[in-house]
Order: sequence, then C-alpha cells, then structure tokens
Amino acid sequence: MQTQASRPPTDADSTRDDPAKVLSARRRRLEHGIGLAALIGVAATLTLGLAVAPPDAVQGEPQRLMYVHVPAAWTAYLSFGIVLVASIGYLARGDLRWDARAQAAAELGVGLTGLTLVAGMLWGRPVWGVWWVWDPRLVSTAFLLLIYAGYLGVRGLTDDPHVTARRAAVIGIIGFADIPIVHFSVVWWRTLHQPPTLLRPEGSPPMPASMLVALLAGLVTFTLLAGWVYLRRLDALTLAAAHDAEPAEAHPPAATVPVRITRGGRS
Amino acid sequence: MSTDSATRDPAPTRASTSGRRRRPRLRWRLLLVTGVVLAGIGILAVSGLQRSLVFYRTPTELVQQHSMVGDRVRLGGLVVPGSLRIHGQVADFSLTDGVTKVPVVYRGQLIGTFRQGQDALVDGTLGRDHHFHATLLMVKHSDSYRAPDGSRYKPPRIGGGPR
Repeated sequence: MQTQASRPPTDADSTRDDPAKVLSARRRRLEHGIGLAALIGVAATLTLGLAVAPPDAVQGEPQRLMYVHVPAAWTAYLSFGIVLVASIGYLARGDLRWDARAQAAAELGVGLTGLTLVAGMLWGRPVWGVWWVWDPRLVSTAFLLLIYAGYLGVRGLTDDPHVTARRAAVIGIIGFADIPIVHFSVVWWRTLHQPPTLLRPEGSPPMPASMLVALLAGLVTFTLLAGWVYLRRLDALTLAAAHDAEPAEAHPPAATVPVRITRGGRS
Repeated sequence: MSTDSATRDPAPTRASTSGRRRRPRLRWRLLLVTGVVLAGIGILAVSGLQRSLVFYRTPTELVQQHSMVGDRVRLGGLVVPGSLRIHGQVADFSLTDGVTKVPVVYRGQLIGTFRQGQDALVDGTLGRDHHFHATLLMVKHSDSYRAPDGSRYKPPRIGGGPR
C-alpha cells in the first residue's frame, strides 16, 4: 500500500468521501422519503397555520406562533428522549455508534429548545406584554437549554472518544430529569405561562377544530423535519468517524492539511 | 506485509503538531463551559428566589399578610368585570380570586389583550392605602383558544346522545 504515499490528491480521492460508499441505498431512500414528506408537511402547516386556522379571539394573530412553538417544544423533548436512550445504549454497550446517535440528537434538541424560547418570546411580547418572565416554566426551559448545551460543551475536551462519550452519557441521562419538570411546571406551580392545552389532565383540548388540525400538522411536520436533520447529521458523524478510523497509509489526509504526511520514508 | 503499526499515526486526521497547542486550549474550553453553565444556573437560581418561591400571590394572600405593605410583589387574579376605569395614562381596576378583591392602580399603556373577566398579573407594591400600585402589567391568557366567532373544538361523543 505504498503506492499512494506521496502523490498529490486527485479527484479520485473524493470518492472516498462519497456518502454512497458509507451509506446503504436503503438509508438514502429513507432520508429522501422523510425529506419529501417533511417538505409536504411544511407546505401543509404553513397553509393551515397562516391561512386556514382563524386568529384567536383574545390573542389575535400572534397566536399563530403556537404552530411553531408547541411543535418545536415537542420535538425537543423527543430529541432529548433519544439522547437518553442512546446514552443508556452507549453505557450498556460501549459502542461509539450510540454516542454518535446521542450527539446528533442533542444538537437537534438544543436548536429546537432555542427555537421554542424564541418563538415563545415573540408570542409572549404582544400577548403577555413582556418578552420574558422568570416563571417556573420559562426558567426550567432555559435550564434545559443550558443542560444540553453543557452536554455538547463537554464533548471534545479529550482526545479519547470513550471518555467523552461516558461523560456526555451521564449528563444526557441526568439532564432528562428536567423534562417532566418543564412539562408539569405549569401544573405544579403558579406561572404566567398557561397550563397545557393538548396534554391536559382533564382531557379534550379546548380549541377550534381548524386550529387543532394546524397544530397537529405542525407536530407531524416538525417531527419529520427533525428526523431528516437527525439522520443527515448522523451520516456526517458516522462518515467522520469512519474517516478517522481508516489507516493512514491507505488514505492520506485530504487536501485541507497543508503538511503532507508521507510514508515515503519506508522502502 | 507493509502494514506497520509502529510507523502508523494513531490519529491520522489530526496532524501531530497540533497536539501541543491542543491541551491549553482544551483547558480554557473546559473552564469556559463550566463557567457558563455555573453562571447560567446561578442566574436562574437567583432570579427564581429573588422575591419568593411563589411566582405571584393571590389577592387573599396579599391582604392577609400585612407585612407585605411596601414590598415589591406580584399579584395575580381575575380582572373584575366593570371595575376598569381609565383616566388618561392611569388605569384603575380590581383583581379578585373569588374571595378577596384588591384595587389596582396602573400607570401605563394597557396592552390590547387585557380584558375584564380575564386573568392578569401585576408587579408592584401594596400601598398603605390598600391599593396595589402596579409598575408592570401582564396578561395571563388561559389554555383555551377560540376563533373570533367563538367556536371551539367539540370532541365527538362516543355513543352519541345529547351534549
């Protein structure tokens, strides 16, 4: 395997990064399918949320942010649930693929939690009268963002991927405890944020049918979009890991590294 | 066999020269992450405990605790229908929890979602005149949503029968 040692990179090298070689055709078809469904979902949700559903009698047009805020929160919970499962999976198996799944899910979750807070603020300002309050719901959600930002922050602090994975897994598991706190905060404590509409203790949601349909469309769409982003991110992480694991002589580093590490010395 | 682990770089995509730079940078990053997280927790904790563990008080609680006169508190309740009076920039209304009514004086713009018969939260101080002087008004909307024509979702009743 000495023949490729000192030649400059050619276009042929790019095939090594070709996703087709690492991902199966089935996986790619799944991703395309989910992506397409997500696109349709986006179109449907936009139509339903902006045009079909009426504005709320009390809150007016800003209430339409519910079709972003609630699905984003739901998908964030789902992502952190995946972090929980994958973290347990890593600790149980020691397989770094579980760690990659947890990382991709955590990145997604942090983004979605941020979106939840931003959409919530944009909704709150015209309806509540304030951008932010330190009520238990908002505080626990901000805390959630902080925990999983910390989860991502402790990654890459050491070169050993297993040490990183272990630290992250512990945070990923313990951090999940905040999610029931976030959800029940509006039921357990006094808050400015209203109690849940969909998952009420009493049962049926008090909402016009057209709003409910738009909200459900939003939930499905966000789940599909999140699924697509998650799979794509997982591909990228898997690709990077596969690249790192390959022996240096067979695959010299790609053109980004200015210093060429040659193996020409051995002959 | 030409594969020779002795000369093989264990981390081929990370050039070895960056190893020396990496450690001090990693330490800074660990400190930064820890610092940010601790600061965040600190802010959340302080803000949460700033006034009290309760986000707002009910009119009954406010009236019963005489020691609260002069303290900055939040008061929450239903805006009593018919109690709203607006004189220029000042709005007078009453908040109730069904048992006690507290008159509120608010100096500022009333937000459009503010309605009599709906919940509101005020932030301010209880004066010796037993009027609550509000500096901040927040409208608390319920968990139900209505179209402008008032229609709500009626779930199908299993087994039919009158609603």
